[in-house]
Amino acid sequence: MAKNILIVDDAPNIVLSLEFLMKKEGYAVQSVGNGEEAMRVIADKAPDLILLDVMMPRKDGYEVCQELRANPDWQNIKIIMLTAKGRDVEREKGLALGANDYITKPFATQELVEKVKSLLG
Amino acid sequence: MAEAKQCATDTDSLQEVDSEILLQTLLQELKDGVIVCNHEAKIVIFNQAAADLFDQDNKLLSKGTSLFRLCHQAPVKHALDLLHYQMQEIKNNSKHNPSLQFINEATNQKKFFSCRMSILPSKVAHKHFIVIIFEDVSTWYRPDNLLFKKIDEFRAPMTNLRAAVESLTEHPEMSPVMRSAFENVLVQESLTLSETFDSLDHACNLFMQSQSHLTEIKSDILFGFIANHFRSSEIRFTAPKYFSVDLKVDSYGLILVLDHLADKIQRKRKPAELLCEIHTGKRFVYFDFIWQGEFIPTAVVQTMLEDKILNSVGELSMAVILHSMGGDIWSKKHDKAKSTLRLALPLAKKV
Repeated sequence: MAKNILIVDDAPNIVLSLEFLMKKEGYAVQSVGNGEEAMRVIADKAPDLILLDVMMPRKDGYEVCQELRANPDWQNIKIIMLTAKGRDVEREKGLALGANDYITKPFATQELVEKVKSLLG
Repeated sequence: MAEAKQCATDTDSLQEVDSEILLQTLLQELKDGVIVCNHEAKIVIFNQAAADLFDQDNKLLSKGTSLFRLCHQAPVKHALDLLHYQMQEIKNNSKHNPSLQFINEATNQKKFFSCRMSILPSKVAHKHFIVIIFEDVSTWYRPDNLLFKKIDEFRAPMTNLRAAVESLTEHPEMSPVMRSAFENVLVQESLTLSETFDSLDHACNLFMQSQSHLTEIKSDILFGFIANHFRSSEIRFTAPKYFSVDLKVDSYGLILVLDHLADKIQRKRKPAELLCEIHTGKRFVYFDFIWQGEFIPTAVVQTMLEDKILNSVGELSMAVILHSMGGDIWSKKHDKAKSTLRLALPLAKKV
């Protein structure tokens, strides 16, 4: 059965590319545009991996990440944070709040695909 | 050998020159503003560059007047306290007096200065002199100025990219050859944009790291000074004692931020005891505020970053002060209802 990926990003252009790339790799993909919607979708059905933007309206990526890690049921969800914030300390912050990996925009699409594959085994 | 001998003779001759004339001559040759004050912050000597910087028409700068008529007192007092502490700590280990870099604002709020301050000890106890070198940094100190300078680099590739995209979408009937050409433009311009962005990112990081309001300081000195600062408060403070690393910080801004965070935690959570533990990692130092009780959610921490920091130079937000040092804050919940608010600062990068 195809693994599930949830894309959480408020920028439609990047969502379009991410959906295309993930579907091409054979994953089942769902997308939402903010952190609150993401929490609702996850509560309904937890995905295997989340591609999580940091800067979003109505609950940012850091908040989503911390809420997920506070719930024992969601410990196994893999999280890759996608962010326009490129400083070392923000990577440190993302990982400290529970992300499995952290990619800074702009990124090479192949690098992202490899990270997803690696995390989903 | 002969050259060394001649040099020694010249040095002897120089000592015969009136020291005040020598000092005045040297000062006038410097491009940066230099002011020397006595222990009461009364101006003793200044050079022409300092007079130009502080708008001599207003006659604010003259011998015997207070330095604090020209620039704000709190950053100078902080720098003075930290320098005194530093001199006490290293008195037997260094031949040179330490200096400290910080930012200050003219009292008329027209200019920002990067200041380098040193203390000249006197033979008479507590009658030291302070030397401050002022550099006008008004053009870049405000974070918004940087963006205006760099943003133009993005205009050409953005324009080319947009034109290509609009041509492709608005003229679907174009020939395959033309289509291919426009697609090549998309590829090339995307690459150019990525590279331009990377160079901007790199330049910004270097710029922020080298900004002259950050002072280089050994971590043991800074931690000891912060421990002293918190001594009169109810916060219990612990720091590594036998291990020191190089840091590049805005020490005045950092103290204000630590005070602000401690105050916020005490107001929001009213802990029975608040601990501040410092840890040194491979790439960062961490200031951990720890208490028993409910933690502060990330959503609240993110809004705290926008708090204006009282008495900061230029009325900056916590985010601006922290980000200028490459730092950030976040919170963590632990077992046994223990909570942490962590402030991380990068170690100084070796240039």
